[in-house]
Order: sequence, then structure tokens, then C-alpha cells
Amino acid sequence: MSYKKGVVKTTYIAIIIAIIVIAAIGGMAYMYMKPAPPAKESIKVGISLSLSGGFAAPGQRQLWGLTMWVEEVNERGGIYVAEYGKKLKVSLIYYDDRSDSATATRLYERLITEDKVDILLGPYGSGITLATAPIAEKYKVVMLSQMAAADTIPAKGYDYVFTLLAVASRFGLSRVELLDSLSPKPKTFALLTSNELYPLTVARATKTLWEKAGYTSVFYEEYPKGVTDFSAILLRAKAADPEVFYAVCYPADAFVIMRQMKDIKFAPKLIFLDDGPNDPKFVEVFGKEAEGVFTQMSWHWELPFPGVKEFVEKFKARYNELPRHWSAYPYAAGQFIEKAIEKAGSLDSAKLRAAFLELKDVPTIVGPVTFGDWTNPMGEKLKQINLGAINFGLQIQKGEMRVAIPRKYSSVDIIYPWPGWAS
Amino acid sequence: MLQVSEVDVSYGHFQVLSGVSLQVRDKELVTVIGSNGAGKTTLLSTIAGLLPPKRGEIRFMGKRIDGIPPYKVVEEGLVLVPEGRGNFSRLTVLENLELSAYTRRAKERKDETIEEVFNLFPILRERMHQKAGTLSGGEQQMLAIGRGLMARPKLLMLDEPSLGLAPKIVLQIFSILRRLKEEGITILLIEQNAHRALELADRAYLLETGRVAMQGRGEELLQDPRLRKLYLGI
Amino acid sequence: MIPSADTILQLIVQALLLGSIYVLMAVGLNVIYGVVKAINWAHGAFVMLGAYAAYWLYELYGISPYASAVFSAIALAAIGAFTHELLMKPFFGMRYFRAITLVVTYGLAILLINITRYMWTDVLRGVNLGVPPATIGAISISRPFLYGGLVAIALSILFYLMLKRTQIGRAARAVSESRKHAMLVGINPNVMSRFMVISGAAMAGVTGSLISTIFAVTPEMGSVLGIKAITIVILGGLGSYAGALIGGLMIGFAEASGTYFLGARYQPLLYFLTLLIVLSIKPTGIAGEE
Ligand SMILES: Nc1ncnc2c1ncn2[C@@H]1O[C@H](COP(=O)(O)OP(=O)(O)O)[C@@H](O)[C@H]1O
Ligand SMILES: [Mg+2]
Repeated sequence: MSYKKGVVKTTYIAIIIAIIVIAAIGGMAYMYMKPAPPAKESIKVGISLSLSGGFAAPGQRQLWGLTMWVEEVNERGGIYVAEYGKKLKVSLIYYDDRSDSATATRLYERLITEDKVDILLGPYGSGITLATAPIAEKYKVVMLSQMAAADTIPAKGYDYVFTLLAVASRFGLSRVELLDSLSPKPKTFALLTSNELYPLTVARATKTLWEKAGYTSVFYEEYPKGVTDFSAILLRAKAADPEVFYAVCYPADAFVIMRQMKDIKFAPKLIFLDDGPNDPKFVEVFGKEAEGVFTQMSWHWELPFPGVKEFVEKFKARYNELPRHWSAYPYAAGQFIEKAIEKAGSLDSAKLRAAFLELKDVPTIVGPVTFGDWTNPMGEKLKQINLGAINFGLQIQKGEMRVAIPRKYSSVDIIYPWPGWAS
Repeated sequence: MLQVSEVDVSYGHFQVLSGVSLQVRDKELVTVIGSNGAGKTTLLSTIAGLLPPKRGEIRFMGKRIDGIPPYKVVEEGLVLVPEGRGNFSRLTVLENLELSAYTRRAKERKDETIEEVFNLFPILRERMHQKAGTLSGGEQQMLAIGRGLMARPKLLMLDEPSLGLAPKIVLQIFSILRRLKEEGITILLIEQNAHRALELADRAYLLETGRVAMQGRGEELLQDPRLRKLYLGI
Repeated sequence: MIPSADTILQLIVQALLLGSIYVLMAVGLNVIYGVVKAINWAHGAFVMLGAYAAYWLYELYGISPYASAVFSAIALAAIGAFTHELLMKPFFGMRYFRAITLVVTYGLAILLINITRYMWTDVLRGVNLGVPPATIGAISISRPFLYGGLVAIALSILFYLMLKRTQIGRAARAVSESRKHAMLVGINPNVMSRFMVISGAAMAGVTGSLISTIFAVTPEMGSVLGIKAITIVILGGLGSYAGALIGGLMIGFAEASGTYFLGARYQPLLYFLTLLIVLSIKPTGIAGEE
């Protein structure tokens, strides 16, 4: 009995060992003889979009811009990838983050780990971008951010995150050009800004650059959220008697500021309101008085970059409105990705990243794109931002927003000084 | 006129009144006496509609009034001058009086009634534009009674009008009650000052821990030896 | 920088006008508090809805906000009635009534603000009447501000007289003092509280109409103004008419002069300090009782 039992036991052990050995050999063989990657069918581009919630309106327009690029590139047969020796079509994988950072963070994890996308596009807004950029960095997947202007994101120094849109601190560059191109040159300026992070960055950068360029600040004020009445602030600004009045503000504030400037008869030679006059509603409401007021946009439909005209026409025909930067920048991001994949000849993240950094002056509808590092006027080091990105200075002329700055892209003369309030 | 039958009232699980029955006839002055906590205030509150009875019914001029809200009870002509007087301290004396002629019936005769109240309590006329909160205790009580009258009550219920007043003022209050009685106003009076109340009353009830322990004509109760010992301290 | 006499005069006028708008807003809130004994957190949202009503009527039909204020008042009165019946009355007499109403109306405020944001987005809106400012001597005043302030003052006085002189006003004050004793006089306190919540909401509607011509109309104004109104009534004394008046003017002056002399960035701090100082001297507010 005991002998027989021993034989049975030995046999079992032998069988188990055999199974383990075979499994191990098979596994190793599989690993070593791993065939070429399964034929790649498409280039997967992943993005989380704010299709509902607070950012739904710009989020939807972001999708429109992207869709136009995807369709166009696929009509051309796709993008040539040397590694596969053929053109691959682009497939866009997107989800709705409901304008919520936490949701967007989960969605980027999913895009990377489950959908296995080849490249990521950034979401809408600095807030969500700031929350999701670390995901791209963690998995080392290239993320091209197109809708975030906060300096804080490139200031983090991520290797895999690229910022296409002009960061807030770069707005100052075109503000300096604006004052420099006036004649006679103004000497003094008043600057009023919301004290939220983004306007504050714009304002501080501009103030630094203006002062460096020799203009004197006679009034500087940061106003907190919740200010509804600007009359006391404006009274003080008026008392300082500046030649230039620049407010980095939200549209609703611009509306009140403009109205109350008139009420107290504050008439500087130049009025620049960051947000507000760039809404067609502003011109409608203020009519003639809006004439000559300056504002800004990240992009404009009359810019002389190649492809802009075609893009604008197609967009208008399709969506029945003028495209804004919400659509132009995602489209331009696509244009850049196309060039980067061709140059890398691969969908490997490290190779793509290298290609992003090597490419210079890639023509897009937002202008030539070159990624590089830059130190902003406040001395912060920003990594991998678009050195070609411009924040355009616009002037309202005959009821239309016209590109005024940079002068080289402008087709109009600047009206200066501002004609003043109609009596 | 007022018929309370077999009424039970409780605060939550704590029963305060058990099977209380009571009657007030036209032009009568009926008093309910009893020690502190016997349930007198609870009884008046229930009649006034501030508390719902658990059992039993209350009729006024033949109409059932238990379960209807206090402001409807007032409209029926049944008016309570509550314990603590219930004046509005932030309103002036005049405003208090004017406000108290709130029902349509009372409003129609407002000016006339105010004149009567001022004649009854000349001090109120002097204090007319003063905030009620600034009056003395006696004046407050006069205002409270005056307010009760402003409502042109068919039956006026008073909850311890002499409480906390100086003896001289108490005397004054009782003489006014007597005058009201003589003018033919029906009154249901609650008093701890049992002696004076019984003297004044046509009929009286003694309430002990939520039950009617004794009832009869005022003089009868005054003569009762047990009551004399316990409530009159004689 | 020492301001000129003209500037100071201008600043005072500005503060008065701003203050009077605040007074109207605070009176509306206190009217509700007085009788219901609950803070209506949604008051700012009511003001915002009034402003949107004025805006849309102006935008679509060209109706002047001064005329459409009547409509705003009616629309908000309806919302006030709804608020009273569904969000306040069911909780009357409950132990934590104040806390419950505060939470419930806070929820209502969020709901209204978000519905507005959803329907009309954050887009810039506002009524620009385009009237030139009024010039008196060296000072120049916005006409909408001037008219708004005057209407606000007139309405506040009118409401004050209503409270003081009419039977319904006396009844409201009586209910505010004691629901129980008011009932014993023959007042139906539910009718009174409904009436006052409706009045308060209607006043919010009018405030909104006036504000639409002065400031921008955004969903956010619902929370910004709501917090201001609550600050004012707490400062002035909950439920007190005089408190709303003093508190409103005080905040108007603090805001205008603080912004001018210290700078706009200190506005939240200024609010906080004013509140802190006043409440540490008199915890029930300037004109508060109890
Ligand atoms: N609101 C109340 N809740 C609970 N118990 C009460 C309340 N009011 C009175 N009581 C109780 O009911 C009893 C009768 O009170 P009350 O009617 O005020 O007596 P009285 O007026 O005869 O002094 C007392 O024991 C008292 O403690
Ligand atoms: Mg009692």
C-alpha cells in the first residue's frame, strides 16, 4: 500500500513539473518570437471634451474644429507612418467630461489604458488641463494642449505636455507692440484687473513689459470677485488721468466698466478691455461708442495664414457661424500632429515627443508653430510652449473687430486717440 | 353659550385635561380656579383653538368650534386675553388697539370701541402713542383687556389678569371686571386669586390636576370648607 | 492722493445711490425675515431673475425696464408664492425651522442660478438705455443709477408707510412679534406670511429690473447680490426695517469709499471687518432687537 501510494505521488509531481516547464518554455517562446505588432489600422487620437456643463458651448466648438481636421486628413488617405510603411487613417476617440476635472481625469486614464490611444489632445480650459496633464505625464503619452492659457501648466515642466495656445504671460508682448506703434506715443497707463489667476497673469506680465518699455503706471488695481459697481474704482482711475486705460476683465465687468466710464466722463486716449468687446453683443449694445475700443482674441478669421480662408468658409457653411479660436486651435493642433507623426515615422510616444521638439515653424491656421522653452516676464520658466503663439490685439472699427496687433498681420490703420464719448 | 363637553387634552403623551366639561351662559361671569399647573391655561387655549382636544367637543353658540384655528374662533366672537397678556410690544398702544379690531364685525365699530376703551382706561389714552413694551405691568394688563374688548367679543376669556400686579392695581382690575360684567359682557375668568374671583363670579369651577373637582355658584364654593382650606387659606 | 471736493461729492452721491439699491434689496429680504423668521437665501437669485425678466423684455420687445418692473414684480411674486407654499410653510413650527429654511432656500438659489446659466449661459447681457449722464455742477451721475436709486428710495418709503399705517402692515408686524398672539387677534398668520414673502419677492423683482439698467446681468449676480443682501440685514439687524436702511446705506458707503481710498482688493475684507466690528459691539445688528 505504502509503496503504491509513493508511486502515485511521484507521478503527480512529475506531471505538475512538466506542465510548469512547458508553460514556461511556451511563454518564453511567445515573448521571443513575438510577431510584428498587429497590423495597425488607425492612428488613435484621444480627447476628453466638455460637451455638457458650464463649458458646453466652447467644448462643442472644439469638437467641430477637430472633426473638420479628422475628416480632411482621412480624405487625403490619412497620415503616412514610416514604421508601418503606409498611410493610416485617424480615428478620434472622445468622451464628455461634463466640464468636470475629476471626470476628465478618469477619462484620460481610460483613453490611455483601455483605448490605448497613440496621442492625446488637451481638454477645454486651464482648470481641467491642469488636472489632467499629470495623467499624460505619468503614462508618458504626448498631450497637445490647445485650450489652456495658464502659465502654471507649462511652468510644471512636464516632458509630455505641449501648450499650443498663447499663455497668459505672452499677451503682454502684443500689448507692448500696441503702445509702441501709436503716434504720438502715450506716456502713462492705468491698469485694472480681476484678481483671478488668469487675468492677473495677463495684467502682471503686461505691466512688467510696459514699464520696461518706458511707460509709466499711474493706476494699478486688482479687483476681487463679487465687485458689481466699478464707479469708485473708475473715479480714482480718472483722477490719475492716464492716457491708456487697460482692463483685464470678464465680459460682464467690461460691460459695466464701459458704461460707468461714460457716466463719470472718463475718456482716456486708449481703452483696451480684454474680454467683452470681443463679443459681438458689445458692439450691438454700445454702438458708436464701442468704436475704437481695443480688445483681444487668440485667433481671428481674417488672419493671413495659409488655410485660414478655406477653413473659415467651410466652417461657416457647415456650422452657420464664424469660427473662433475654440475651433481654430484644435484644427491647428491636428495640422501639427500630422506633421509630427510624419516626421517621427512612428507612433511611439518618445519618438513623437522628439519630433514635436525638432519641428520648426510648422504652418497652421493659427500661424507657424514652434515648440520651445521660454521665460515669462515674471521670471518663470515655461516648458514646451508654442513660441509662435500670439494673442491678437483687435480694434473695433466700423462695428467690426479688426486685427490691429501684430501690425504685420493687420490690414487696417489704428484709430488713435480714441474719439471720446458722444455727447 | 359656551359648552365644553368631556374634553381631553394632552401635550404629547402627557395628559393635562381629562374629561373636562364646562358651561358659560349668556351674560354670566364664570370663573375657573385651581392651583398652579392644574390645567387652567390649557383649558382656555383649547377653547381658543390653540390646542386641539384629543376627545370631546366644544360648542359656541351652538356651533362646534373644536378643531378650527384660533383666528376663526375669534371671528365667532370668542376672544381670549391670554396669560402673559399677549400685547405686541413693538406696536404703540393705539396700534395694538386698532389691530385688535381685526374681524369685520369689530372693524365696523372700531372708533366707537376705542372711545369706550379709553373711557374705561383713561391711562391708555395718555399712553396712546407709546410702544406697548414701555408700559407698566398694570397698564399692560389694561391694554390686554382693552384689546380683548376691541374685538367686540360675545364671550371674553381672561387668563389670570391679576397675575404679578401690585395689590392696588389688582383691585382696580377687579373693579373693571365688575363693570364689564354689569355692562352685560359674558366672561370666562381664570384666577389664582380665588377669593376675589369667587366673589365676583355667578358660577365657578375648581380644576384639580386636569379634572373638574367642584362646581357651583360662586358663593357656594366660597363656603366650601375644603376649598376654603386649600385655596383660600382660611 | 487727496481727492478734490468735487470728487468727494461725486463719491458721496455714488455711495448714496448704490446704498439705496442695497436698501431696497435688504428691505425685501427683511420683510420676509420679519414675518417668517427665516432668511431667504434665494433673495439674490430672485433679484437676478427680475433682472433677466427686464433684460428679455427690453431685448425682445423694447419694453423699458422701468415699465417692465411691474412684470418682474408679478413674476417674482408668483415665485415667492411658490417658495412660501412649498419651501417654507411645510416646515413652520418645526424645531430647526430657521436652519431648514436656510438650507432649502440655499438649494433654491443654486437651482435658479444654474437653470439660468443653463438656459441663458454666462453670456454678457445688460440693458443699455444709452442715456447720457446727468450733470449737476461738477459731478456727473449715471441716469439709470439716479432713477434706480430714486425708485428704490420711493419704494422703500412706500413699503415703510404700508407697514406703519395700514391694518395689514400692523398685522404683519404683529405676526412678526408673535404668531400665537396674532392668531388670537384674528389674524391668519399663514396668509400674512404668504403676503409678506410675496411682497419681498416682488421687491426683489423690482430691484432686479432697476439693476439691469445699472450693472451687467449674469447668473452669478444671483449669488453675489444674495450674499450682499444677507450681509446687510445681519449688519442692520434681522427683520428690522431701520436696520435694512442703515445697513444698506452703510454698505453702500463702505463699498464706495473703501474702494476709492483703500482699493477694490480690500472690498471683501472691508465687508468682513464692518460686520465683525458691528456685531462685536451689538450682536443683533445695528437696529436688531431681542
Ligand atoms: N407646552 C407644554 N408642553 C408640555 N407640558 C405643558 C405645556 N404647557 C403646560 N404644560 C403642563 O401642563 C400642565 C398644565 O399647565 P397649565 O395649563 O399652564 O396650568 P395652569 O394654567 O393651571 O397653571 C402643567 O403640568 C404644565 O407643566
Ligand atoms: Mg396658567
